Amino acid sequence: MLRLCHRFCLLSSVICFLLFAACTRHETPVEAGNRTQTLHQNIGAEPQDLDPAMMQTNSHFQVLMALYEGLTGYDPQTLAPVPGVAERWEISDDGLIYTFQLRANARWSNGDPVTAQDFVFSAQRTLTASLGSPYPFYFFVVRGAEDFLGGKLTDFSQVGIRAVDDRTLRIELHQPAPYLPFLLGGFAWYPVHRATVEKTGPWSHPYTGWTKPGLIVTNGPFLLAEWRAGEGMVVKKNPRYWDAARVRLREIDFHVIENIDTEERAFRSGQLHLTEYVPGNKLKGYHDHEPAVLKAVPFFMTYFYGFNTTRPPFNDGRVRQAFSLALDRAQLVASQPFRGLRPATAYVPPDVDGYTYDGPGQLRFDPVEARRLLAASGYPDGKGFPAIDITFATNNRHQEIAEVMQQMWRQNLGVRLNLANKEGRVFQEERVHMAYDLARAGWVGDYLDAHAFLSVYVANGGQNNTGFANPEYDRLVRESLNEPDRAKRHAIYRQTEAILLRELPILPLFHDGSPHLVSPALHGYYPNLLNYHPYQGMWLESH
Amino acid sequence: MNSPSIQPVAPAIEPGHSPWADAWHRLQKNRLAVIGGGVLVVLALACTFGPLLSAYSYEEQNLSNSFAPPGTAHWLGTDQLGRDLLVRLLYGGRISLGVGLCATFVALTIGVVYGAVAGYLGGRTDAVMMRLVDIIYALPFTIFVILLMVFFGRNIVLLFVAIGAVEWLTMARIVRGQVMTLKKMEFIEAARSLGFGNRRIIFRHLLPNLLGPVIVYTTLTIPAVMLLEAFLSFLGLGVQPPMSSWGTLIKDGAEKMEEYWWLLIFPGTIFSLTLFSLNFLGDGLRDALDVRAAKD
Amino acid sequence: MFRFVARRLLQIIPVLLVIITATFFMVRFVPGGPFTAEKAIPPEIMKNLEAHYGLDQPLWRQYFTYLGQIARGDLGPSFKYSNRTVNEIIAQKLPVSLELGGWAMLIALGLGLPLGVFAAARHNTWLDYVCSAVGMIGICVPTFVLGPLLALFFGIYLQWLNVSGWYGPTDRILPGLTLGFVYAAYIMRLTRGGMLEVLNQDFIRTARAKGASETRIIFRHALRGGLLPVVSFLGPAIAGILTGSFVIETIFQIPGLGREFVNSAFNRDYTLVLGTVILYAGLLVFMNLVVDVMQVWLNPRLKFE
Repeated sequence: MLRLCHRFCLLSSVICFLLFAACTRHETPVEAGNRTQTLHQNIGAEPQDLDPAMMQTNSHFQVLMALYEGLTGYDPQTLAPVPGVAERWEISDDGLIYTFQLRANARWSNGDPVTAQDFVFSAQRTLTASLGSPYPFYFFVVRGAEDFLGGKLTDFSQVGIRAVDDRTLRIELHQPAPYLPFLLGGFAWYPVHRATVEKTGPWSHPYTGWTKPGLIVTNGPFLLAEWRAGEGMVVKKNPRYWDAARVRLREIDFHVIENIDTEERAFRSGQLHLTEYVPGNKLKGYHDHEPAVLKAVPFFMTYFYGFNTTRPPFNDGRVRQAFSLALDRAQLVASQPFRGLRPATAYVPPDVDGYTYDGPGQLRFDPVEARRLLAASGYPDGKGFPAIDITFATNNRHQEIAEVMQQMWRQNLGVRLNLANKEGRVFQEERVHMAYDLARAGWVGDYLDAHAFLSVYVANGGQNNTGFANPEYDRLVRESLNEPDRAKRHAIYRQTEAILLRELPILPLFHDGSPHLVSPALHGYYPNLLNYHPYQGMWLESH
Repeated sequence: MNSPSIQPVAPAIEPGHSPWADAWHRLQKNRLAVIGGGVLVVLALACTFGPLLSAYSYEEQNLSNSFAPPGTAHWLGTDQLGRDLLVRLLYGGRISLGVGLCATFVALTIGVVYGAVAGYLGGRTDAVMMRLVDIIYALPFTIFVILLMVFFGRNIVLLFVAIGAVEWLTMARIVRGQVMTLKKMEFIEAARSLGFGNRRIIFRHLLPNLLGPVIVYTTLTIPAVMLLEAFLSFLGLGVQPPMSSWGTLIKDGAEKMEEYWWLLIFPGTIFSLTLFSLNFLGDGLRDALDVRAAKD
Repeated sequence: MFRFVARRLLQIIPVLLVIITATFFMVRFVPGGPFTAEKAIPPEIMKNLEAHYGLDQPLWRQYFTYLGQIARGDLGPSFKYSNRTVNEIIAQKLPVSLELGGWAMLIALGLGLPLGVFAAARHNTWLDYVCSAVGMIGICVPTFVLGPLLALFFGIYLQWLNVSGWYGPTDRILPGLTLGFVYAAYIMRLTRGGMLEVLNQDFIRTARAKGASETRIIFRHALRGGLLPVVSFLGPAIAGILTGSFVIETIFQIPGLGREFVNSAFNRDYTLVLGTVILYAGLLVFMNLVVDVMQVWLNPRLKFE
């Protein structure tokens, strides 16, 4: 018996030895990539499709940015719109008509020229309700676009987007939209190749499968080479891209690692050049020991809580103010897990296109005033205040922040609230149906203008979810766009935001960052407010 | 007796000393089992009364003292929000020991009775009962838990229902397998020929002979249940934050182990200590209740 | 034997039908749908998407449409991975999970069975304690701790192995070990328990008295009965391990099916939830059939009934 045991032990040690002898230190994918100009980037969850009209979350914009190019592109540092497929454009004096001149040498990956008609077709497709595109509102500034989607207009030639000739595109707006050139660089406005879309089914049907490798035709700096389910996508340099001479990367491997701890380990072991996030508890270590790879710059995002203003206790504006005044945001962001975040003094993140809110009602910490307001609304020292839930979707970070708020309100207002974490879609459903009292929310602007934030809280806005409705607010949001002068427009924004901060349907906490890790070998990569990173100017070079 | 067989446990008929008293006596002589039992008692007492003696509460934060390593002020250090880990561990023990023991007890009771009945009756009854087990196995657990919460809200009883609903299944299969073998043994045949009812045979003759595998699988179920609780917390059903459990503490600590080792080591140690103790106690119980070994 | 197996195979049909029906209606009553997103989709768009997938039909009609579909072997399109069908997803991801599960099972049995047998054969000696302790570590260290630890040590500290991905043969080692170790612990404990039961029985004593060698006693006489609890455990365990593990596949970024079991529920991917459940149910019922056959084989006293 014992002899058998010895034999077993011996056998297992031999197996173990052989296994580990087989694995020796090898060249990491990052080192190999630096030689071959292959970028390894993680994009988190796997995209559900590569059809720009059907993208469901912003996080896959990077893949589309490699594959497609819109009328405009972005400057990698400032995100200012730069010429893309359009080499130049003119804007009429009233700001309503844009005329784009397309490049003669813009090509689809199969060699076809990219024409103005391609953009008209793509817009019509996205605005066709049967396609079910989740982002038609990026077209709503165009005259007639919303009516076409809603069926009030059936003839697309009535919509304000028209091909004058192959290389001239005219876009007419129903009201000025100074941010239009920025919007045109986004994924929703990317053109699709009509003949390819129609190969696998009617173009007005979603998900017919034309985006599979081998079928898909695109017009961007890279081509889709491979798509392995659950593992990611490989794109290769597109030789037919008009600006191919400037593209130095030969290949990008998009990884789809969802777990942020796995992602960080993959980065550290040399499997990734570029991560999507950094786990919160690793921030300090990178900050102290490897600051060169950590990119922790501001992000165009506000982290806040929404009040349900349609039912007690938060239908009383004084209660909402009291809850805001009782929060010490400075203390929250001074503590280690949240270090480096910018505490919110208003709703719109500061210094966007030169706009920073400096009007009345800025968010501050004043527990005395908070208690006074709460007492005035019938809850002296929090007595009688209902034990409502602070609701958030399950997530460690959300939970930590909610725990901090819970304690601050207990100490400063004397109210005891419960924490309720919910599974993601249960949480969304409750928010949309207003079945909550106080729920976590966040907003990332779609374009670098305060309007991207302020327009959320118009009455009946699809993302409002607080019951907030103020006619004056709606009027100001509408009118702000008619003001061509930037300084005057900002003055209107200021008035608008003042209403929001007076009524306070939401409770802004801080403006988030989007910390991530970047290999020092990656050049031409600039952290920016929206985390958009065009690949044209990037290259790999190790020292 | 000329063929191999298992001796039946004779329940409390021999005069003088009952088998239970015998078993208790044997258990006391097993040093590891006594140590295991002792550790469990100490842990249970510490979790019940410890928090009362501490200067800290499980929810009291000190944001300027987050991630403090173990020291004189906080013996086991503090977590990301500056909360005392020791107190959170003790509070977490109340939840985890409670859930671990109660839910396991529920799973044990259902599983053993169900498996014994199915295995003993056999035939069509067994087929129907075991296919029902297959069905419950296969239903999507995540969906089941979310539905439970939608209909009944967040509730500690639901936690037991959800865990109990899945953990008894394997127990039932193991018990059924044993019973199917046991019932062909002579002593069961004998009991049947004496005209004993099914209930008496199952509960007085079969069950005592199942104790070995049942005890082993029970000691395996307890850690599974404690960790399952952490998953249910993810779905919003488990402990309500800022309260903690060993499962959630270990999960948390696992993410931070490289930077803040104490957040994993201490919860992990106390979890392991509990499991080792339970295991030694279980082994001791098994040996003590094994009538055959006792004849040596 | 043949009639027994045939009858059991026929039972799979009603069992699957019950499971499909229950799951179909359960997923529909869960709040949130496949198109619930952080940025709410405009209502007219929502209507069109629902019409595209037939979600605007009455529920009973959807149910019968679905039954008709799966009768033809078509599990439908996935909601989350919208340009793939559930059949394609399973065809792509199941082989990965099967391979990982296969390695893990090999490790689990190769480690668990011998350790359990040695421990029982040397009951209450140092060998028993060592084997038991190894088994206990597998139980005390959850996969979400063991996995990252192994990845940190072999992937980052020693730089021998990849910390994530499923590219070459060496990428099977860490996930296989992590997954296998937990099951090895279970198998070790159950084997030891089962063997101890049998080793105290009279026929073993008789064999010992007749002077049979210990090795012969264990392998000829005791193993069959002693393995019974392990075999009962293995039915559901193999079905579970072969269809993938959520935790392991997440930690090591493995493109297997295990993650889809959990994620499809979170994504309300109705068709994928049903597809994975049907697959698991079929495998489970089949494995339990294999177990029942093995039980008869292990114990000649039993007959197929």
